[in-house]
Amino acid sequence: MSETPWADPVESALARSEAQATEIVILDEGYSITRFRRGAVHQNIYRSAARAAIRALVDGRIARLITSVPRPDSLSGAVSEATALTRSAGAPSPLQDFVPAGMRMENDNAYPLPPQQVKDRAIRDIVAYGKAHGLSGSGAYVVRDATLLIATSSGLRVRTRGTNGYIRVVYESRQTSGYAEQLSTDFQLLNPEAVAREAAEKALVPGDPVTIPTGEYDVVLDEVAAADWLRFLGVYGFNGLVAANGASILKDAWGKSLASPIVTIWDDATDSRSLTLPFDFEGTPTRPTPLITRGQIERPVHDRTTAALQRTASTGHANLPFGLQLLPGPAPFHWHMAPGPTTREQLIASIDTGLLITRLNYTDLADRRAGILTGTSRDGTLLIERGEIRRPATDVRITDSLLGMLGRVTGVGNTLRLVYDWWNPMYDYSMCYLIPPVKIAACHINGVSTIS
Amino acid sequence: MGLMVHIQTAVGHGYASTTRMDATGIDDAVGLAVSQAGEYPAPGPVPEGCGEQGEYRTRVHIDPFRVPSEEYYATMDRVAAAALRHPAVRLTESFIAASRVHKVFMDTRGSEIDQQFTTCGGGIRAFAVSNGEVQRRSNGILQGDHGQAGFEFVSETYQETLGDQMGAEATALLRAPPCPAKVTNVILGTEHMALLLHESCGHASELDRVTGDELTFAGASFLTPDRRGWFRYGSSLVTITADGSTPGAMGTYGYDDEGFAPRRIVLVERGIFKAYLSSFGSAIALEEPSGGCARGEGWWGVPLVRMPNVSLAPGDISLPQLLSETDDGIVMETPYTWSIDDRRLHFHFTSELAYEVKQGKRGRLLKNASYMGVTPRFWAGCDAVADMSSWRLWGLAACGKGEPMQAMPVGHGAAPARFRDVQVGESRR
Repeated sequence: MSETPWADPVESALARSEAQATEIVILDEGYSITRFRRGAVHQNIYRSAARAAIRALVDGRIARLITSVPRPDSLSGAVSEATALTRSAGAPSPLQDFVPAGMRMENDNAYPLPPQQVKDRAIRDIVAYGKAHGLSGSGAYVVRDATLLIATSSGLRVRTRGTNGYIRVVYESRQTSGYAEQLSTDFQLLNPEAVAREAAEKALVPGDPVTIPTGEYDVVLDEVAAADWLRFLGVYGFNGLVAANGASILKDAWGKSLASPIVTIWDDATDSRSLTLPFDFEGTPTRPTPLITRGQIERPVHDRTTAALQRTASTGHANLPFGLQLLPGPAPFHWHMAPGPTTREQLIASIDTGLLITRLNYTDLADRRAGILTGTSRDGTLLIERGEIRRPATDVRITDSLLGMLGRVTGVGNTLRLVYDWWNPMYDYSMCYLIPPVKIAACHINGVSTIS
Repeated sequence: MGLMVHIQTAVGHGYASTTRMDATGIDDAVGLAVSQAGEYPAPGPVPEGCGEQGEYRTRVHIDPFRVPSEEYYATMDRVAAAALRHPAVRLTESFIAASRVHKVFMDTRGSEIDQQFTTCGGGIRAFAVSNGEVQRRSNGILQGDHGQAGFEFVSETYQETLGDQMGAEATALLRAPPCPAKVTNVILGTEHMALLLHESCGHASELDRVTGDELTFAGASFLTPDRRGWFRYGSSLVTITADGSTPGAMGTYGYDDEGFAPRRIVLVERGIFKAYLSSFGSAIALEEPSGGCARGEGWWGVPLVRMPNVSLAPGDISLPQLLSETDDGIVMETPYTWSIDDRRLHFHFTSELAYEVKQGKRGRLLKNASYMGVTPRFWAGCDAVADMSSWRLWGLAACGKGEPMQAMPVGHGAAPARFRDVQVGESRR
């Protein structure tokens, strides 16, 4: 940690801590986001922020303090406050120490940041591409550079730095819209033209949107929609805390072959094709963790607290202590789904009457006990007839069983895309997915989004 | 603690935020904001507010930060213990939250506004278990109930009677039949009304959704400008207002984060869509003054159009009378889950607790209830709104919007209301 301004303040704060054990997590982050709408930039922000999450352990009780850190030398005061807070902490913690020494890691996955002009040119090109095709373009371009550092009084010292760039585009025509996005750790690989082309292709499918009757349809979920579907398996299924509480939607599924045998999913924060993270937010090393293997549901993932509750070991899935979380507890954050042998075009060609769904909106579990997912489609809902995309369709509501949908996966595409999580894109260390398009049979469509 | 700078250059505008509050940090932030400005023109000039010098403070009777933490725990323990006295209740989750935010706004026109917001609230969830089935009861909308107040809000709201009610109802739900699937009258309790107002009216009337600012993430709105002034949003019983000055409400403030005082805005008047929630920048699109609704979560969040307190005007019929005049219907109490599309049209909400109404009398308790609809059709079916005697205000601690996402407190007030021809069903089907 010698290269960061945090090294000496962290050592000093740990040395002066009066707690029996102390953990300091620092997230020092800079990012810029430019949002444009219908051809004009309306939001340009650069955020530079350093935040600390400190856990102190005294007499078996743990208190956590989260604070912005205006200066590195203000850390010691924050550690003292966290230590004082343990006096009013509630029940004893199942966790009786933080990650010990054993791993010292300084990892740098950062790529050179692009100058502002690159971003400006990309947005200008996206807007121009849309105009040339009669489309109005909106979107965002994000550049992020974050350093995560964790140190404990037991000797752990780990640090990683990573970058990523993200482009998302919505094109609108008079009655339709189309969406595409790209996420990459290497800014050089960002391809605004390709993102624009993909979004435009969806917005330009000819014809007025057709409103389909409710019922069961075969659907192809493009990668962003498929990721949205999987999120709930992580948050309400594989989450070790909900599993420890007996509330996991997978509580009767562990070890059973309930998904289609062509479904294999794992979590891997070490894969360089994803947004790598060599350790979790407690400092436990990350490693590939199977979630679903050829249809069989594997085990929950754990941080050190839920592992202690379940008398097992952490799987390296401690959650970020900062920011908005859909639900507390450990969860898979780096999803990988094994690609299949089929092209996306073949998935579409295999459907007689059905839908291609680009993106979902405001998905939720309509029933958190039974794992019933509900959400609407948006920005590229396309009718498939006789194996071809025929025309746009009015956005629909899907309400269906998560596990049931897993069991009805009848096709997996042979290409992978890295996508961000809908719920919390661009925010800290959101979930990410390396995922192919997926075909699901007999999806339950129970509503359409139309004013008429 | 941190700071945000918003600048406009000849070619564009930019924001920068930082936690470095010394002179160098602030200079750097200004430089970064300038570099962010890029080559794109701003939609309008930088909002300079009205050059006001003002102050706002939440009225607090008991400072929550002077209440010992033991009192926080004791309050939660009392409520949870009351729920746990019901043998089927195996688990409770409860929390109390207090926050204080100090905001200072200054601009080059001389605005100098100092505001301090204190909020207090909490929530209780009771889980009853039998034969592998779990039923939950909780209070409030989605995240408990909160007010812009001191600890007195917690003391008044979180009492043993609340825990006992949650425990008893969770237990009773274990024996209840599931909600049947049918089209019927639905009477929404005030918590569901708060959710409905929030999702189908508050967000739908945000002008930045209409101008496309939120198109790529939060979405747009079906309330397009060509519909303003004539479009029938709901029945003639439906009048919905936004008011950032409601005492004690979570969405109350003295000035927004562009320096404008909030105005009372009639969004829907006797069923007709009338006005938007707006900021300075978004209102330019309609050549109107700001509605005073620009708020950012903190120094890191660009001010966005955020709803203040969006409420339904009470009707003129008592709740007992409304129920007695219902031949056949289902009452829905306390939202469980929620989902709505990106234009705020098609929604699907589920309910922790429901019960039948038959010939004006309360009937069977029902579990796992859901209802769905399309916003203007649903509100058009509103044929009764209860009067002020059953009107109440709810506080939501965190409404998410924006990229990166920001969470803002909002308030909603309503009395129960009845809606015709609603599709209801069992949430797990």
